[in-house]
Amino acid sequence: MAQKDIAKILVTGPFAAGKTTLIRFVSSEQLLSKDVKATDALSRFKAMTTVGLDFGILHVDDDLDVHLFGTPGQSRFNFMWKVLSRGALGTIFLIDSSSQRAIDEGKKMYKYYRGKSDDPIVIGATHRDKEDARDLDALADELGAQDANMIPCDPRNKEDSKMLVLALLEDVMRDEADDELEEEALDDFELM
Amino acid sequence: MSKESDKKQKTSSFKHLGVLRKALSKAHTGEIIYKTEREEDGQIIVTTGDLINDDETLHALEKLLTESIANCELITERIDEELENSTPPMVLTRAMNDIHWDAETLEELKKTFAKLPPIDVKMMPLHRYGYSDGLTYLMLYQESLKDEHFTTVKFFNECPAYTTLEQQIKVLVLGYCLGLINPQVSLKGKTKGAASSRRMSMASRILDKIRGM
Ligand SMILES: Nc1nc2c(ncn2[C@@H]2O[C@H](COP(=O)(O)OP(=O)(O)O)[C@@H](O)[C@H]2O)c(=O)[nH]1
Ligand SMILES: [Mg+2]
Repeated sequence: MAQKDIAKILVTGPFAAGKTTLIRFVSSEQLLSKDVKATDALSRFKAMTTVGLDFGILHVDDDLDVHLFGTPGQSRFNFMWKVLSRGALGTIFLIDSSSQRAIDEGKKMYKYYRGKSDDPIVIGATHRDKEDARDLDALADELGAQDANMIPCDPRNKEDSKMLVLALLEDVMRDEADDELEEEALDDFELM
Repeated sequence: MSKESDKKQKTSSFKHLGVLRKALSKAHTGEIIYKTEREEDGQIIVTTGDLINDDETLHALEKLLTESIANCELITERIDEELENSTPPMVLTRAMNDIHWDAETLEELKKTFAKLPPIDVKMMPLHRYGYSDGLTYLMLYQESLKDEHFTTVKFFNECPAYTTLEQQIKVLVLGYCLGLINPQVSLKGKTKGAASSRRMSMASRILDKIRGM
């Protein structure tokens, strides 16, 4: 039997942003850190599990699985994100928009990621229901992420969690699309 | 009553929005020149896909967006192929904040937009560029993510009752003119190469899967 393809998606962001919650909603199967077997593909990951990674698998079809990696929420673990992000489709970056500590940490993380990779990143601004939540502009400014795709969301809501992954995938597709073809299609896009 | 049917005669065309779209979504330098049905002229200077943020441009834009337009064209002096115009002109969002359409025009705009093929919507934090109703745009974007064959008709149907038709039309006009709303084929068409089409294929299959979850 042919090997299944594996697509990787990273879920990152400071502590308590909602990473575990999101991964739970979009996985068919979840492994707790301690369950991870030292298979080849996951051996590196296993070495990291002691610091509280999340890992979920989404079965897409007979030929494709998605591996969702939740990387720990402190900038001192940025290197893990760097290792895991190789070949990944992109990153979902969650941030508790009500916590100054999280935002300070998130700023360092975000800066590091953008310096290391051009792959798509979607920012999910969580904890919007909290009194101290920054408005989206202020949050984008504080994170240094003014041009990022930032979406307000509550990962405890399954639809919101799905939305973030969908947003990331749309960005991936847009990245991969051939711009020249777009121009032809635009000709059919007149308002009649 | 008779006045209304008079107005109806000249079934509005919104092709001039396509001219605006063309001017803004590519780095055109030149001028948009138009004439209204009431024989008034207007011109808007375009510089590498951007507009001057002054009152003159604002008024010319507001007129273009609200009046019946007899003809409209873009006189291009230059196109900078390399430049990608990625920030919406502030004066356009200002104009969009200010203008209103009557119920009849709104219905015509709705009908016109409803004819567009399935669309892809690109996220843009429009409030950062001065648009006051970024939330309705976000709603449009979020609805578009949920549906593989998302159309403006679905948007009209899915919109919660607390958004008005005018709010809905405004974000469509804005998205259309800024090139944020595009025909869907643009995403799923040919890709840059083998590695790229592999990522594209994976992303597309995962999208389908998650939409169905
Ligand atoms: N009020 C509120 N709670 C949230 C939100 N998102 C996540 N949570 C809660 O925050 C806590 C931390 O979430 P978790 O997924 O464990 O965050 P992680 O540390 O990033 O993995 C949990 O109790 C979640 O239910 C949100 O948007 N609003
Ligand atoms: Mg966690």
